[in-house]
Amino acid sequence: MKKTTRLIALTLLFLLTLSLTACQGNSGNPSGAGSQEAAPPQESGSPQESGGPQENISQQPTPFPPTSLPDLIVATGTDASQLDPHLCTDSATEVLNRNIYQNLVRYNANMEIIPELATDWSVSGDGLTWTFHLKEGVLFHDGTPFNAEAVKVSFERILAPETASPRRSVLEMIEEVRAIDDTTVDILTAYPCGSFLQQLCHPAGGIISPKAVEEFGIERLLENPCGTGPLMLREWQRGERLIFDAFSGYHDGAPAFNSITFNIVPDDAARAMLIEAGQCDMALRLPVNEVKRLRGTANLNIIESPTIMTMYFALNNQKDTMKDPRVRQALNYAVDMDSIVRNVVSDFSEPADSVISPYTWGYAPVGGYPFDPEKAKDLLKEAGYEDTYEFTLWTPVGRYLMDLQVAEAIQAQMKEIGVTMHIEQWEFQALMEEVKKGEFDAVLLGWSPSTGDADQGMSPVFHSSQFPPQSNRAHYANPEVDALLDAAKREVDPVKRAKMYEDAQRIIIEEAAWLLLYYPKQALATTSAISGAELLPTEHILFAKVKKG
Amino acid sequence: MLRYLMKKLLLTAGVILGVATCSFFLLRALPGDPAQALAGPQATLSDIENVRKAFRLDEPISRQFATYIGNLLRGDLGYSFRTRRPVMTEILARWPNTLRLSLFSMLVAILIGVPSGIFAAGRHGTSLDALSMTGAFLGVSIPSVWLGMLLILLFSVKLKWLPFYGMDSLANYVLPGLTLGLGVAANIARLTRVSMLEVLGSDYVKTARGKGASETRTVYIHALRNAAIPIVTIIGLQLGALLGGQVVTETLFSWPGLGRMIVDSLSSRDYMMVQGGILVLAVTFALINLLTDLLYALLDPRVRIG
Repeated sequence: MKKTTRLIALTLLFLLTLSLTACQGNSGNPSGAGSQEAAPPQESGSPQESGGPQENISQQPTPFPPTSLPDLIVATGTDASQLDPHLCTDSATEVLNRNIYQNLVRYNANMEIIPELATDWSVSGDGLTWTFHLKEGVLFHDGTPFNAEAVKVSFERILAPETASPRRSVLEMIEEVRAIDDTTVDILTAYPCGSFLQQLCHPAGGIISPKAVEEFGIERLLENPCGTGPLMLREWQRGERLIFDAFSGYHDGAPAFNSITFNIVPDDAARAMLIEAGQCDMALRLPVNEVKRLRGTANLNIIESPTIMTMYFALNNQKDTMKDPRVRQALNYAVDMDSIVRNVVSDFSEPADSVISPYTWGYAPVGGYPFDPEKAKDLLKEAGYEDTYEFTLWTPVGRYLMDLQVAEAIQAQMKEIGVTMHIEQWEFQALMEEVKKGEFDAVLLGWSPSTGDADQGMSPVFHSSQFPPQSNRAHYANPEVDALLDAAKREVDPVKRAKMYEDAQRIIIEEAAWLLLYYPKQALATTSAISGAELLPTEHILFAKVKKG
Repeated sequence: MLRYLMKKLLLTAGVILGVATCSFFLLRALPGDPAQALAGPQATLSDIENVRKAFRLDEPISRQFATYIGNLLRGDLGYSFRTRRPVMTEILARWPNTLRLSLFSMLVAILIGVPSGIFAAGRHGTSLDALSMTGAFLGVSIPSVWLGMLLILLFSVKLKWLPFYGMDSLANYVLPGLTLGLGVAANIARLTRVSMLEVLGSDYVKTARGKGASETRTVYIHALRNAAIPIVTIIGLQLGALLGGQVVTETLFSWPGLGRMIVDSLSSRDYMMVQGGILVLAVTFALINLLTDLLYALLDPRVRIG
C-alpha cells in the first residue's frame, strides 16, 4: 500500500514538473517563440504550404536583414476575435485589421479623406457611378498584385448573402463593381449616396487578396488574413499575443520595424504598469484614471486625442413626463457639463455642443445648452412641474468612460433645481435588450458613427423610422428632420449635404431630443523613443510609420 | 474496484449531461441577445439578422438544444460566435494554461501550508502558533486582486526581479502562483493544524513516543499519515476552486486561461463558449473528486472501495 502511495505521488510530481517545464521557452525573446503547445494543432501546419501570410515560427522571417530594425511590443487590452474585415465587429480587432488590410480611401487624423489604395476618384453627374483609379505596384502579402479585380472580389464578398456579414449595411448601396481595366474600377450604387467615400473608409471596406478569398473561404480566412497593409500575421497565440512581421513589399515605403507583437493585457492597470516598467513600447486604450496618473511621467508620451463618439442621455421623447420639449430643455440647462468634464472625467473629454462630434463629417457647432439652473427651473414650471419632477436614468456600469460617476454627478446637479433623478444600474447586454421595449425615462449611452459621417451619426438615432428595436432609442420623431436626413443621404454635393445636416442638428438640439453630455477622448502611451503612430478619431491606430529611436 | 469506477464514471456522465442542460437553458434565460451583442449596439436590424442566421440562433430553442446535445454526444462543442472557431479549439488553447497555473499554485500552497500547519500544531498554544495562525487568517482574508497588485508593484515595478506578463518561463509563474497559492496555503495550514492536533493527542502517537520513536518520526510518519485525509480532501476541493475561480488573477497577470475566457464570453453572450467552458470545468471537477476518493483508500486502510 505504501509503495503505491509513493508511486502515485511520484507520478503526480513528475507530471507537474513536466507540464511546468514544457512551457519554458526562450524567455528573452519578446516574440515569445515559447508556449507553442498551447496553439491548436491545425494552426502550426497549414499556413506554410498554402503560401499564406503566416510563417512557421521555427523559420527566420526572411523579409529584411533583421539586424538593425527593432521588434516592437504593444500592450493591448483584448485579443482579436478573427481577422476577416468583412466579419469583424469589435473595435479591438478593427485596429489590427486596419493595418493588415487597406481601403480605397481612408481618414487621416483630422478625419479628412485621403487616398489609400486609390490615387484619385470622381463621381458621375447623376451621383450613381464612382470611378476610382488605383495605385500601381501594390502587392498583397501573398505576393499577388492588387488590381481592380481585387476590389470587385472583396466588395462582392461582403455583399454576398452566404457571407452573412454583420457589416453588410456599410456597403449595401453598392449595386455593381466593374473592373474597367487593371487600375480603373467603376462602382455603381443603387442611389446617389452622399456618404459613399466615408462608407469606403470603414474597416469593412478592406480589400482582401482574391487568392486568399478563393483559397481560405469564410472559415479559414479568419486566421489567415491577407491584405496589402504594413502588418503581416506571423503567429497568433490565442489569448496571449499576436505577432506581425513588417510586410517587406509594403507599397508605401518599408516600415522601420522588423515586427510588432501585440501582447494581450486585459487589465487596465497592468497595461499602464507594463509601459511604466519599460516592458513594452506602446500601451493602448488607457482608461482615464491611468491617463491621469501617467500624465507628465518622464520617458513616456501620453497621447490623448479626440474620438467621434458622443455621450448622451437618450430621453424618452414619447413618455408622458418627457414629451414636453421644455422638460427636456430644462434637464439640459440643469447640467454643468464643464464642471463634470473637469472634475469627474479629468478633462479626458470635451463638453458636447452638438449631437455629433467635431470629428464627424457634417458636424456643425450649433451649440449645446449652457449651465443655467434658473432657466431650468422656469422651464419646468412652464411645463407644469412647479414643485417636483422626477425621472429614472438607466446606466450601464463600466461600459463607457466614467459612466456611473458621471450619472451620479448629474444626479447631484439635478437635485439643486429640485429634480429627483433615480439611477438604475445595468449590465450592458441586458440594458440593450430592455431598452428595446421602450419602457424607460432616460438611458445613458454613447454613439460612435463608425463611418465617421453624419448619416450614420444621425439617421439611425433620430430618424422616425428607426424606433426600437432599432437605434432611435430616444423615440425622437420630427418629419422635418426625417426629410433633411433622407435628402442628405442622397445628396452627393458635399456643400449642400453639410447644410442639411447643420439644419437637422439645429432642430434636434432645439427640441432637446437628448441630454447632451460630452465627447470622450482616447489615449495611448508610448515610451519616448517611439514616434509615428497615427491615432485616428475612429479609434483606429495606423502603425505603418512607427519608428523607434 | 472496477465496479466502483464504472458506477462513478456513469454518475459523472449524468452530472455532465445535467450541467450541459442547465447551462444551456440558464444562459438563454439571461437578458441580452447574442446576435445584437456580436453585431454591436449600432448594428442595423439586417446586420443583426445576418448574425442570427449565421449561427442558427433563429431556430426554435428546442431545435437548438437538440442540435447542441446531439453534437455534444459526438464530442463537438460547437463554434464560438465571436471567433467563429470550434469551441474545443478555443478551450484547448487555454485549458493547459489554467491547469498549469493551478497545479503550480497548489504546489506552492502545499509547500507552504502543510509545513506551517504542522509547525503550528507542534507548538500548540505558544505565541509562534498564534503568529502562524494570524498569518493564515490574513492569507484567507486578503483579496487576491489586492495581493496580486502588491506583488507586482513590489517585485516587478520596484525591484524588477520578476515579470508579470507572459508564460514563457518558470519565473512567470511565481507571482500569479503566489497570488493564488497563498490563500489556499492559509486554508491548508489551518486544517493541517487542527487535524494534526487531533492526531497528536491520540493513543497510538503516545505509544509511538513511549516506544522511543524520535519526535520527527512521530510527527511525520505516525501522525501525518493519519492526519492526511482531511488535508487531501481540502486539497482536492481547493484545486477545483483554483481551476474555476482564478478569473481575477488571470486578468491581472494577462494569463490566457479558461476562467477569463468564460467571463469574457458571458459578457458578449457567446453561448457556446460559456457552455463549453463550464462543461470542461465540470468534467475536471468530477475527475478531481474521483481522484480524491481513490486517494482516501490508499491513505486509509479502513476505507474500502467497491
